[in-house]
Amino acid sequence: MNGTQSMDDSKILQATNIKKHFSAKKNFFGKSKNIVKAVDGVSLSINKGQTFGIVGESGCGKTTLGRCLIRAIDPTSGEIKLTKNNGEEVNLESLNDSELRAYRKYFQMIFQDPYSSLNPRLTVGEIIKEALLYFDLDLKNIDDKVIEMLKIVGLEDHHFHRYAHAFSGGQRQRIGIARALIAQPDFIVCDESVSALDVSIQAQIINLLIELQKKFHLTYLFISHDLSVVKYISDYIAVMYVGKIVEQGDKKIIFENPKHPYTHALLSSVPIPDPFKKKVRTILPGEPANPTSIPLGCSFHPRCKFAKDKCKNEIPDLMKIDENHDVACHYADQIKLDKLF
Amino acid sequence: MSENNYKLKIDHLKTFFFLDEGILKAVNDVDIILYHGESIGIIGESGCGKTITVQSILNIIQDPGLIVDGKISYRLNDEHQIDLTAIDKDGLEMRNIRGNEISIIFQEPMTSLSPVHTVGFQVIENIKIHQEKNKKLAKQKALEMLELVGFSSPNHIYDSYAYNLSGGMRQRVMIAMALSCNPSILIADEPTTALDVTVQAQILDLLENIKKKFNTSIIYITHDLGVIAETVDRIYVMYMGKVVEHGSVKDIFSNPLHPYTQNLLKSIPRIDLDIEKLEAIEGNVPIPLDPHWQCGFYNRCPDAIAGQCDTKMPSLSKIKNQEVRCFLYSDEIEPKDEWDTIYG
Repeated sequence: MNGTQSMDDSKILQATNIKKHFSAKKNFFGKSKNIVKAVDGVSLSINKGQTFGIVGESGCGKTTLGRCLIRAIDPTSGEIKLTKNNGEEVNLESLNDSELRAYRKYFQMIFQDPYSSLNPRLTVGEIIKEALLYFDLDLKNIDDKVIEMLKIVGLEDHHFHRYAHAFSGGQRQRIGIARALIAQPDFIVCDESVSALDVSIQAQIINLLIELQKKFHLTYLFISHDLSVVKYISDYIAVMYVGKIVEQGDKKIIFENPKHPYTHALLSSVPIPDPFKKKVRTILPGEPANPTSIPLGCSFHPRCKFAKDKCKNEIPDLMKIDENHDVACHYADQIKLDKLF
Repeated sequence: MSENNYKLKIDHLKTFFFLDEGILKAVNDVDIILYHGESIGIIGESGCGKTITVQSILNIIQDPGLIVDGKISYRLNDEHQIDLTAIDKDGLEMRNIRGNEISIIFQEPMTSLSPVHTVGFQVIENIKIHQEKNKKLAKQKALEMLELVGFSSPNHIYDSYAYNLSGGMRQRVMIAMALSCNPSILIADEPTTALDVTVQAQILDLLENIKKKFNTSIIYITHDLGVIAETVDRIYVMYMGKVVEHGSVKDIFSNPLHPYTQNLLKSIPRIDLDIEKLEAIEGNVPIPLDPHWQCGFYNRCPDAIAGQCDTKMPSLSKIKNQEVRCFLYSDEIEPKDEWDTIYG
């Protein structure tokens, strides 16, 4: 959980200029009229053993980015370099389907909705086992392995023969975690993995994820709209707005000293469970830009109270302003943002 | 505020669901009081009975559910009060109260609007039934409401369909509909759960302004402790169909008494603090299906007293300015009534 590693060889995943454009509404000749730029030029690198959090409003492209990084969907362009635990490097974007299959066991996904992400026709044992069968792994004592995994995630061995509908939301999420872990991955994408759970159950699952991370040296990409959860679990955080990262850095920096007006507004919108604290709240007018018609210049400028002429015309690059802190704002060093917490 | 100055008073409400598996005691002996111009919050995890409580207020409980006991007094004006459980649920009197006197904003703006009618049609419907029969004037009123909830071009929204609108805009439409007949009580059932934090801030701000402007009493139902801390005056904490703690928002957050409230507050990640480790509550949220006659939190409670908490039901006792249902503070036992003895 310490965010101090920054040596290049400790990176597990490096992505350069990832783009994912969807074409919506084709016209009569099959040409796209609208292009949805869901992810539009994102570069990031994820350190081994860390949790990389991605936050942003719905529609900002965080899920699409997460899926592109493990090639659950193919990015339109960009490079993804995966470094395995033994030091071997693979360019994920260049692999064809059968080559990719061999690498799938290194990265897994834990989904959002524990009610729809488990097959209702399979028993818990079969759901978890499926991953092993798919990867042609050592199939000896396969049931024992599954039962061991059930115990690791806090379930019991007699759950093996039950169906998913017999379990509560929290237990289902534990099954989802067991399914992701059984192939012994290095890298796990958690897409809103605790969002659908009740508060008391959410804490159980978050604690389980952290415990498993230490035990198996996992790296997480943690996608969530809940900033308090991301703050608790992540080491490094990227804030996305309309397909781009607008600010990224160590957790402490992002939460204590955000430099992008969007990050600041986003953090200030979170209600604080303490009636004695005075809130600094910036209410953002309007809604995020529609990714089919992104405004010229900085995509945040129509909602930004600091916007000047330059913001309307020039797209700001993600610039390093400090050790472990990048911001995409023309005036990051000039604007004054109130202290938040 | 005196006991008699209330706008809405719920006494010993019991709403049960009669299922093949047994009796689901969704709301089991709940007392809630709401004063004029005040906002209160009902918090708890899913299945604790918050939504059924407010559905009982509006008398919209669906079969096999039934309000089996209790009284819901609504104060119409200084002289008149009505027991909402006693009047015909489909009768004219109840229909006049729904929407006109007590309004509700539902949880999911995505599914609570009709996809085949324009937004205007849906907003105007309520106004035409309760207030303004003249279509032109009703439309004018609807446009005013849409403007009030923050739409800059209400005419455009009026002719749109729900699928043209984003989640935040739909929730604004829902609020416009709920407010269109100037209700004196507004029930907000998880009003911002499906929304982004930035939009949530807009909606909460809007509700706050409406409360100030029209002196509306608001009941917030939510599981988000942050939202509750920022919006309400008093809190009712529910667990297994019962109120387990009640007090002012400041008392509950600074000095939670019930082990459930204490642990709930410890189990949430905080954006304003650095927490070393979250303290999760072990076990699952139970379902009150034929519940045992014992403290509902007994199985998950770190401070449970064996022999006491598992055999008796604590009653809601007054401790300073708070009320708490726990044997750690008082030995008072809840008396059993006929429902508890026959079907307990």
